Amino acid sequence: MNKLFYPTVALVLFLGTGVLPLGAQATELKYDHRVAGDRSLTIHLGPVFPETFQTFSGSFAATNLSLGATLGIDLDFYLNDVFRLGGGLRGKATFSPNNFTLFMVPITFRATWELKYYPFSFPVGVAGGFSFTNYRSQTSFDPILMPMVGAYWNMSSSWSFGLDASQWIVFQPYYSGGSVPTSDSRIAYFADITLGAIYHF
Amino acid sequence: MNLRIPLTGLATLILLASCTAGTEGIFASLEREQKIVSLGGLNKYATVTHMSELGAPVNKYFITGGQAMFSRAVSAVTWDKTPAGGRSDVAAVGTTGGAPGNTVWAISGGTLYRSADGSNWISQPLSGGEAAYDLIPIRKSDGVSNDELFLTTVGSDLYRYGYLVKSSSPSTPLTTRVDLGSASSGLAVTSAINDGASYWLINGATLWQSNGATAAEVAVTFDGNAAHEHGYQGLIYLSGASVHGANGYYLSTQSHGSTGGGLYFGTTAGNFTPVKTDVSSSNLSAGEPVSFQQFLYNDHNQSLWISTGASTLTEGTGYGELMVPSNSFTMTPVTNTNNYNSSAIPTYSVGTLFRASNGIYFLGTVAHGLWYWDIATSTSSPWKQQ
Repeated sequence: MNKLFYPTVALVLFLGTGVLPLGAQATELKYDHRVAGDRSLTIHLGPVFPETFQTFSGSFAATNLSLGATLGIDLDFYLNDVFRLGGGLRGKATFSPNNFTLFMVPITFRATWELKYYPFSFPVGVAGGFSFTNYRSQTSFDPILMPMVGAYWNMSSSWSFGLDASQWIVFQPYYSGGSVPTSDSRIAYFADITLGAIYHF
Repeated sequence: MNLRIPLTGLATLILLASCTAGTEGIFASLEREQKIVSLGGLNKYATVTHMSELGAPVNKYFITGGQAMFSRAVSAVTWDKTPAGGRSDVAAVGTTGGAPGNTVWAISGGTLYRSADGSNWISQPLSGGEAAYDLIPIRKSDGVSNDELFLTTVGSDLYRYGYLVKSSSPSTPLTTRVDLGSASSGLAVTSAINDGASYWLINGATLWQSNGATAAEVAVTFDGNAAHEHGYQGLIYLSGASVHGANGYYLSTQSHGSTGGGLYFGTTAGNFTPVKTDVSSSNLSAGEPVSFQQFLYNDHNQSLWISTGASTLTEGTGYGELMVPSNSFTMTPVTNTNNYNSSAIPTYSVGTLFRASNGIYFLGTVAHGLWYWDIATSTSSPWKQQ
């Protein structure tokens, strides 16, 4: 038997016992567990792409709006490890052919599910609420739906960074008897892709 | 976490946010918005109060805002300063029709001039020796065209005398004088029509019927509201196959105090009933009433345009539109298949409305240039700035 056999076994055992604690630590970090009551604060920033306007009878038309930008903040509460409820406040500006600004400020409540593949998580959610819509001297208060998907890297248990893509569906109905004809009722579609930073606390 | 503060703030925001609806949907108006094109041939801040044309078919336009007169060939872009009688200041310009061709008239330094080509101007003295003051097209019953002009003058009897300017070869001096009588107010005539039987004139809050030489005041019945009977501004008579709806006379009034102007209709001149009174517009400052002014008929959709103004030059509200067949009025023209409502025109005071004989509509503003709409090509053509 080689005279080096025993020393080699001894070294392997020694190193092996030394690495075991590290292995135990890695196992612990493979799943960033959330519990009911945990909160997350998300900040979004990114471009908004005007898509189309649709009449309630179904025909589509161009928005004539140029590329815009959005900034938003969401506050969510975890109900369990993969499901959270919360609310969001957004601001969005897009521009007309004559450089007038369409401002929209949606205030929404949202439900989000998270698919987790450590160290990544993929939130899928839907938000509903109302949007303050202002253009020149007019302001309206419109129902809005915002389905969204995202992809985040969990840098630590406190911070995650990633991307979100949201579809804005804004309903602007006008009813007979008002100053605006019902034929001016529209559904507006916008999409955004935002950089997001989530703080868990 | 204590949510009381953010939720209270949110509720306050919702309560405080007021929704202000105009007459168009926000998204729908964006859908219709088109980029405003400025041809750059005229100062974009020019004031235009008079416009006329020359040629059959039309080959030249003339404009003035009470100072310099400009003209341009129909095929050109740039407007050139055009003196009349050697003077650059031109108070008014107008056109008379009739064979051969037509004649353009201008007032400069209190003198009336005429020209058959827009370059050579001939002084046209008046039989009474008054100073020429203003040129007003005498609209025919189509609501658009005019063969004649009403020349207002100022003299020792103030605005008592006017002249009919109605031929391309007038007598010298001009003798077609109309006497409003010594009881006429000290205000110049602001609008004139010919209904085929008589001339009808308005000045101040007085309606006149004239045979072309003398004029008699006609009693006017209104809606009994004295606040509405201040300052008639525009008068037009619509009749004939091109006009769909009740034939008759339309009268516009200016604002009075905080009371907005009104629009009135009568099948006989003098017996008016309200179509729209106390007009207001969200384009003006709070409490600023709309003042109605002159008329122009749009035969593409049988609507009657009424130009507006405000007491301040920096504010206005474009023109309103009366759909003649349905008798419905709106300050937002329903002919909004183009960019009118999304342009800034609805916030301008209008100096003049003019339809050239080639079918192009012009809108002269106070301090915001001259705009045109080539409706003859397409009703969805955008308003463009000259």
